[in-house]
Amino acid sequence: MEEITDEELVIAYRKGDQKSLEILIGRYLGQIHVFIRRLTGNDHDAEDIVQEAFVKAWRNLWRFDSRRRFRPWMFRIAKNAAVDHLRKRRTVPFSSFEDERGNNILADSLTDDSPLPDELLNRKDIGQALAETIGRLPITYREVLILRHHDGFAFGEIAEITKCSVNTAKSRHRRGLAMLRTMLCTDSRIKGVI
Amino acid sequence: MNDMKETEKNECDRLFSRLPPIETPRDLLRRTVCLIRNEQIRSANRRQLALLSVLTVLAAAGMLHFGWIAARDLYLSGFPDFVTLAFTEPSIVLKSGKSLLVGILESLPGISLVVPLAIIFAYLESVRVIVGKFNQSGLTRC
Repeated sequence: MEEITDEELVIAYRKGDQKSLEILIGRYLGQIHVFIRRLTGNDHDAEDIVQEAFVKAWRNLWRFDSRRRFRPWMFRIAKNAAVDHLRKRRTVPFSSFEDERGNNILADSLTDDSPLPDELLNRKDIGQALAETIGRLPITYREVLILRHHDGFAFGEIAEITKCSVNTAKSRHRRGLAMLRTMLCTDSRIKGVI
Repeated sequence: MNDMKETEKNECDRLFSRLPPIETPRDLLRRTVCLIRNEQIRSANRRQLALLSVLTVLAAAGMLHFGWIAARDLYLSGFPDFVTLAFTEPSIVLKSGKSLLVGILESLPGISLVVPLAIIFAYLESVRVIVGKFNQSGLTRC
């Protein structure tokens, strides 16, 4: 049986089918939760933001253009909810390398585009260090990297989600990757093997 | 150039696949659906309240307008005279009470009185329906 598309589910919900909304939430809850959890690095915050994001999505479902794709739209709402939440708290730094004005000194000095060392990729304990390092990246780089390499979005979609141009998304991706590489290579847990 | 980009993407995808797995809480779906259901109820309640407010304003305006017309017609009709007569001349009530009653009823400005009464009835009925909907829409703890 052919699966109903997200956009068809939105149309069905608009026509009064409550079940369609539940199917839609069920389809994206896991993905959005993992995305938010990776973005915020906090379980409790992630759950709150996920719920907030879905309530916002429900409120705006009537405005959703069903000719466009639902997935990037949903991720955009979730990403905005996460950024709003982090801004409100502000106890969670957007990045360890940002100054008081939000400028990132380290990111601008990175130009290294060399590939990731194999030793790094093959390390068994890389997961935890990587998660922590991603958490220390500026949020603009963090979101682009997660969307690209964890959720598999194309740059066009990332630009749509983060509300920037495709070139900006690519540039953030490049800088974020360079910064991640530098930070991983200087990580004391990994330093010795590469 | 494209091959290089593809290799880099694959490397990064490989790296990101090593991130520790994250388990989505089992009851998060139930809690999220419950929260949205509550929001839907709140939203419906807000709409009902707005409707009730509009109805109250309309009913009050209608009552003022048609009530004033009814009071004026009542004053101009023979109704106050018949009532005064009934209270000042008890002998007439005893002698021809039935005719007096008919006279009093006939003197009432029917249409002018029916309109404000209909407004009151319609308003109270809509309040009853809206309050009934409020009671049925129970918010649940998520």
